Amino acid sequence: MEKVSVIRGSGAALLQPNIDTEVIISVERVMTFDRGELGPYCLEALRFRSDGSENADFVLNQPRYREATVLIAGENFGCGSSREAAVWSFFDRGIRCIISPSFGDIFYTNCLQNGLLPIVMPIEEVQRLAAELAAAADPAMTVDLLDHRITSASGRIVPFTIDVGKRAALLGGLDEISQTLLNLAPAIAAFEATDRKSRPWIYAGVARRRAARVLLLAGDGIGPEVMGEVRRVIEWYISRRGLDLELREDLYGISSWHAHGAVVRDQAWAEIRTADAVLFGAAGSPAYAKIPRAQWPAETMRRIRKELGLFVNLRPIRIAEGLSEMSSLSPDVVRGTDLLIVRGLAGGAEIEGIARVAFEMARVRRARMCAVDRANASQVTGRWREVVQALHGAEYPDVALQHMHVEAAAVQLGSAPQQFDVLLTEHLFGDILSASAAIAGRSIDMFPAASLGIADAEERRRGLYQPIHGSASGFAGKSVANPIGAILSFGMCLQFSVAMPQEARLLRQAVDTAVASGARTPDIASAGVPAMSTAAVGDMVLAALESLLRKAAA
Amino acid sequence: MAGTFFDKIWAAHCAADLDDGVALLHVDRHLIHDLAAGPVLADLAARGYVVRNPELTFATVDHAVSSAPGRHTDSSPLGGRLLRQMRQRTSEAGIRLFDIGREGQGIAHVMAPELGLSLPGMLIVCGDSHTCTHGGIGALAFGIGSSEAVHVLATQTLRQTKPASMRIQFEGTLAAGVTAKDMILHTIGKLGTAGGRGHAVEYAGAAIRAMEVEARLTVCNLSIELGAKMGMIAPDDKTFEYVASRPLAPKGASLERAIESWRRLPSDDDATFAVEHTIDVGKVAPQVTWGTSPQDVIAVTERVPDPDQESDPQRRRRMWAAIDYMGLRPGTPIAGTPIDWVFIGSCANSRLSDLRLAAQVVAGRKVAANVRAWVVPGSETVKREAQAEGLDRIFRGAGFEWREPGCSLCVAANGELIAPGQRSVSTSNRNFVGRQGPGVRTHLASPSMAVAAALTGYICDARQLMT
Repeated sequence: MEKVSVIRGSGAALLQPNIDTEVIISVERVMTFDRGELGPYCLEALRFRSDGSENADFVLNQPRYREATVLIAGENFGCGSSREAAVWSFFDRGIRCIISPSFGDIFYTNCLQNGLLPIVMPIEEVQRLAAELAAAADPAMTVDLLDHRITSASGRIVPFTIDVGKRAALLGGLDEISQTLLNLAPAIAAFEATDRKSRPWIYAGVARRRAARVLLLAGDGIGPEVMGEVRRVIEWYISRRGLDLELREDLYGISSWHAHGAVVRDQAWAEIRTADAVLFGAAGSPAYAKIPRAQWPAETMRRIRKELGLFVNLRPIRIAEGLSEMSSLSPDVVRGTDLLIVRGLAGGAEIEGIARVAFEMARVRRARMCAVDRANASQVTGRWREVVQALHGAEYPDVALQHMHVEAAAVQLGSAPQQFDVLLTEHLFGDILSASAAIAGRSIDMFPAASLGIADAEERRRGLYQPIHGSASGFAGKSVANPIGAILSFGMCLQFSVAMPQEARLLRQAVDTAVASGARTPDIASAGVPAMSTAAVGDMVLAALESLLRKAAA
Repeated sequence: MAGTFFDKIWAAHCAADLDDGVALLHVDRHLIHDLAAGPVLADLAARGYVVRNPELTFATVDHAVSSAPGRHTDSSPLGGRLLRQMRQRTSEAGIRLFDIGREGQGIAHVMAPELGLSLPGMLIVCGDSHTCTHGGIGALAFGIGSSEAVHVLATQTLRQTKPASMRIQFEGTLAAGVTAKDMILHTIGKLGTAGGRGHAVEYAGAAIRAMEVEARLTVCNLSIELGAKMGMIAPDDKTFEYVASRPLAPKGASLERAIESWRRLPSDDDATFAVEHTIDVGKVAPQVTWGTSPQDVIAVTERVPDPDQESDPQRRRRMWAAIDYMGLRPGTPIAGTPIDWVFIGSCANSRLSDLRLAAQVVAGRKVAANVRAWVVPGSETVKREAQAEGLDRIFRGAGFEWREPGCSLCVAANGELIAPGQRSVSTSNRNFVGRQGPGVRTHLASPSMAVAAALTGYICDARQLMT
């Protein structure tokens, strides 16, 4: 809530008694517009004639009162329905103080919750303030909450009174919520802790998600370095956000082969089978050439996906603010790019299930989907288009659907990526298109990915989370790997396997903040600027998380 | 100290005592619906807060959604905007949404008890005044405003002043063909729409004990029409049996433990109430409203009251205004009044038991030629179960329209309106001026009475069709 202290501006007088909240803002406007957009509709019923023309006689339509900040109002102002949008519409219009002989109860309370100062004064005083306003050459007034006084349009000082607690809350910008959070958060937490023990069924079952079991497999190459930073982020969430997460770790890859004689040992397979999420670093090393083919990543990763029941792969390409300047494409072309590639996994999972995921994702994004296929040249992708169209017509007509051939999509991703919201495509096309889209973001190391299974009753999905970059064995151990793709992959895990999207958003914001304030491994560093180590970028992300948390608490 | 059922739930949720008798209450379930969810979540974000317990918050689509068969997101244009916003905002916050076409979607006060989201002893809030409905399952439930909803989202608590307590004892047995709806309408007629103001009402007595849970939900639904924000019925074995079969309710040992604690909830024998009423239900006949307030209610066997017999001039003026609006004549029998519309639905009467009762009255007859009649199941689950039993075929065969779940013609916020001047018999809970559309004349009644009116084309005693 905005703090209130000294309000300066022009006043306007509307002394008609009993102006109710329906007159202030109609229910149709409330249904059509959000808070912040209501200013133009404030007192619409009075500002316009029935033929739609502006009523020039109405006080707020007169040039000298049009931009009024202080409203001098008649008795019983804001009576009627409880709609809070009545107060919002005044606030959105720029009114910061209303002086009246009496207010509707709920309207008065709502003013205090929204940083709009309501002042109650005897009717004679209200009328006098209005008369001074009308007589003055300049209808300027000042309302000083610090000193409890109004300077009228004639320059007269008029004291007013307001409850001490309400004044303090307005001065501090504290609505009831901030007061509760500020003063009562420990009481709420203590109540909840006890209550969880005495009435577990309130929180159990659907309402209480059991701890998510997360297995971290760092893998080969730069995997251990980037996943080291992911581990620090997870630990931060556990200690600072109380994230209920069981974290396990095991070896994967050449290190495991050397230690246990298997790329994935039996114990690790058992962990995978019971995990809700596997956080994976990278797979790949020249050393695989010396071990049996059945142990190679293609085979073990296929089995991991099978054990977890995964069928769809998500690759979000979001260009962080501050990175568009560094793209190999023109900044104007990539700025604001925020798209999601949804593709099938290898092995030909059924199309409808994948398309359904894509439609669901589009619904909660910008409701646009581009289905990429090669219907002109392939029977398989021809069938793909039929299924997508049928599903669209039957269940998702609210999503705007467009079809595009893969060649055209590749061109568009490279020249106008901002146009896309969700891109749905099959496995191989998706792989190529995501690499191509990632160019927009300068480095492929910036981007996360998730392979997901079906949603359970709690809307959680089992998942394998892995940045789209590879093992980059040549850079391993040099502390130059960019951990952001891996950290954002954990963000996707928070979203889909832990089902805590608010925490996922916090992490995305922290990464954006860190990047905007200069977190740069060599792959994204500008020429002539010293690049940072993997751990230094991790430090900046953690610092950003910490500062966002402090900002939210303030 | 001896406590009432209400006192016990209140105390169990008090996280802090604030000044001036205000308590900070923990909220166990916060239900949000399409009319408010998007705007309220947007307001929360604009104020810089996050949802504290998304796992205790549940969203459903009911108020502004079309009930037309084959509906989609934008079948109701204003509703479509709200639904899109709701999908995005609930997804961002991690709140489970029961979307259209999905198991669980429905009117908040129908789907939540049905799924086992509402349980005895809980404190439940929702931005809708009919939240008192959940009192029927033994919860303390009430409607809240949008500021309060934001407070709950951010803190999972609510600042609340404790109301006084009232008990209404229903003694005797309801006669055949007389329902819970008739009983509560009769009560509102006796006590008036301000009768419960400032009170949390506990409904008790033999007639309540004999009622199934769904009927109890109907009784509690109309508490707000009695002026009471909260209305509740202590849980008993009937409640526990109902809860045990709900998909999202606790199971096994957890349920056993919960039941053990729920058994301690009923008011102590020596508990005292600020106000007590006793109503003999044995003589209650099927009810129908004649005016523009739920308290303007009479038995279907009675005549429209004559305002000139009323001594209080203010009340007399109000009665005349109501009678004029309703297009009735004082002193004439209410039965025999021709009607144009019938609406069977709403959080008062759209559960499976309501539809079964209504279907029984149909008995092979047809809807009268000049009447349009809608059946709007309260939830996707009710719809599917009713279809599995063949109730939809009975209604459609008789000429009723079988629709998709939502609030529909009760609140008429989805663009579904009755034409001006038309007369409707509705199983909903509000007969206010213009509630079902400008100039529409609404008569509240039970589902059996609504079916009887649809079949005959006029208001009539449903019991005559049941013999």
